Amino acid sequence: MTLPVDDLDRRIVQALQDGLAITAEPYAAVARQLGLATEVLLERLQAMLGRGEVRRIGASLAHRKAGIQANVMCVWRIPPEKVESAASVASQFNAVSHCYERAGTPDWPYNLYAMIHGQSEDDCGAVIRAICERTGQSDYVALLSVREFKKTWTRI
Amino acid sequence: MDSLDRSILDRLQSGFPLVSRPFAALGAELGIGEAELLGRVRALCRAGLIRRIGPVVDPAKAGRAGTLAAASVPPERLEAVAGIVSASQAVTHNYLRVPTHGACPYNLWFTLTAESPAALREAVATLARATGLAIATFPSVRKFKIGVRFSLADDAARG
Repeated sequence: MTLPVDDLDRRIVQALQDGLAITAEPYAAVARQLGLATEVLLERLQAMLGRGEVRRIGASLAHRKAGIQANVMCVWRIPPEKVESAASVASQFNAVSHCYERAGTPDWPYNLYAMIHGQSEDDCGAVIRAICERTGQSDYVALLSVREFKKTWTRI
Repeated sequence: MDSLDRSILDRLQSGFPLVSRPFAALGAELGIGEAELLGRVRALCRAGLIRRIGPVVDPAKAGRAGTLAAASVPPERLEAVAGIVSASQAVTHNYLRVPTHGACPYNLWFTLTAESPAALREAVATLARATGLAIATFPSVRKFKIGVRFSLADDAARG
């Protein structure tokens, strides 16, 4: 099987994935290390962004330290034919960072997931109530994050 | 953290410039010089607000398999089990979650990614063996929103 990310792209991401140096020319240092011209490295990254293999290049923040204190994963049980419209409502909220449909199970029949962030649990609750109101869906469980054991990013 | 720091954090979350001197380009946008921006970004890194600046890989488009998973961990085993789960290379996020509305059989929620569906299944099976617990998996069916950018300048909870 050919993976979408080719070897050179993979080596570029691997060289950058633990973080760019906070220096004036951070890409040049990595390009030298890989034996590439800086322009080639930048073009490759731009192409990976264009194909969506890299979603973004930017800072990963410690949200709690940055003042975004509360995180609730809210799950709704929604009839399959109504998932799409409910998801589009939930996705419109700035406080919602991720919104996925997931397969339910007999033990856990919830199928729409939204990750909600706010300054407080109450902020998140207000967003959840607004989503319920606008979608007409009220069979939900709100799961507040009370401890973060690990938060990192995908490494390839 | 002042309002310039908040603007810097907002701006840094995506669209980091793909040019040879990115901090000079970003500084120009923010109305400050390259050296001042570098100094502030270094301070934000030291303070732990910025974990890193780098590429965020889309696991699926990079050919990887991933899933959300959950387990029901007895309270007295929480530290040990969470430690085992976090130690797995495949695990990227791992949280203790409690219901504030409704009821939930699971308390430990984590996400995994691996090179292939087979490697993902193996990673889940390895965690189940190591913890002695059943691990439920909830793979995504459709992704409607995958942005992870937060505005620090605005009320984060505003709709």
